[in-house]
Amino acid sequence: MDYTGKIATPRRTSEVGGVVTLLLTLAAYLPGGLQAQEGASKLPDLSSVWQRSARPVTPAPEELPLNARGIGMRDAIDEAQHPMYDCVPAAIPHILGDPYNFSIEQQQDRVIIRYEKDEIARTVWLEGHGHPAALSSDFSVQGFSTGRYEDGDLVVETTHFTFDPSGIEDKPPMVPSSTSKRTVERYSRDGDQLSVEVTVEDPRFLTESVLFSFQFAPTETPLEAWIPCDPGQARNALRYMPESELKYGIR
Amino acid sequence: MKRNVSMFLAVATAAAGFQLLAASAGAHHSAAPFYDETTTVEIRGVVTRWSFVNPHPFLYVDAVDEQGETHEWIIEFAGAVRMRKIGWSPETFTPGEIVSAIGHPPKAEGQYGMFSPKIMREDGTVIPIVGSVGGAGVAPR
Repeated sequence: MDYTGKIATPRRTSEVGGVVTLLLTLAAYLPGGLQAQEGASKLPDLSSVWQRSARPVTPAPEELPLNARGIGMRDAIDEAQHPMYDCVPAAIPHILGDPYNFSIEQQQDRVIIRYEKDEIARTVWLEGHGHPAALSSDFSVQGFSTGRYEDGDLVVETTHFTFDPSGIEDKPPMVPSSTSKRTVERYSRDGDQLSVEVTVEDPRFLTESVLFSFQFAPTETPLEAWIPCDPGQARNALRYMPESELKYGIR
Repeated sequence: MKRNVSMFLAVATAAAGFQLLAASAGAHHSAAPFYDETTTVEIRGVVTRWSFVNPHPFLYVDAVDEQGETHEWIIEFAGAVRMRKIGWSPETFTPGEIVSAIGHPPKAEGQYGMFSPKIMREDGTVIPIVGSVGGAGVAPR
């Protein structure tokens, strides 16, 4: 049972149990206080700025379990279609793969994850606090995220990603992701090491899920402010591809 | 492969034993599709523009080749936020100053660019950089 569920979902039927559950339910809506005391042993302290402490472990492009549609999409996508050349931010899992720091801020009903790269801020709505369900209008580059504390870890599920030409593999040969992409991030802290495992599902393009693993350590250095991306120069490198390597003969 | 590119002298060097780690330097994009990592070139020229932006900062340098023709070289560096962490800023270069750079040229013919090269000021001072090797900079994290 996850931490939030333990607080918010009554399981005991005795009168005493009902009172206890009522108190705990009320506590869930108070800042700090009873909830923090009750859950202190299970609620991980993830609030920090984190920096990469090891090379990411990601699936080799040739080993991605692509279905026929995924293979076709991979073969169709060329470098010039990568959204980053128009200053579009990266998404999970690739936002964690570049050597930039990020921060986690744990609040009562949500977790805020801010990234140095691309000035991204994600809101993870914690289950059990009455957050609204995702709407069609929630489709976006970063998707819609909900989370829970489970066995001392933070688990974040994200859906509602828009189609992303680099959503499964962001380096050549790129593999896009569809609107059915779903990610599950598990944040596990062990001392000064934060392990983040991201499972990516996309039944439109993958025959099975794939796993990306990252390692981070806390740092006292605050996040660097972002420097604006200039779309006028972001495509500079594309002119350097030789004609022979242009998939469609156009840049 | 040999290219005549420098303000005063063109140097093309077979890259055996001198590979710049450009592929891992960018983070935003891989260098491999764009830059010829089997060859290096050296240029010396005049800074015309310094653009400290994301996704990558760009230094524009006018260099004269052996035929006396001026070419605008566009030198690309690792992400601006990463460069700022080692002290780079919009004031790192000034238009009019002379710099030298050694790095991998573009794969496409007739283009003048470099990615994350070893870069030096007019007096030979090497400017610390993220993402380049060969004694020039700070290894990528």
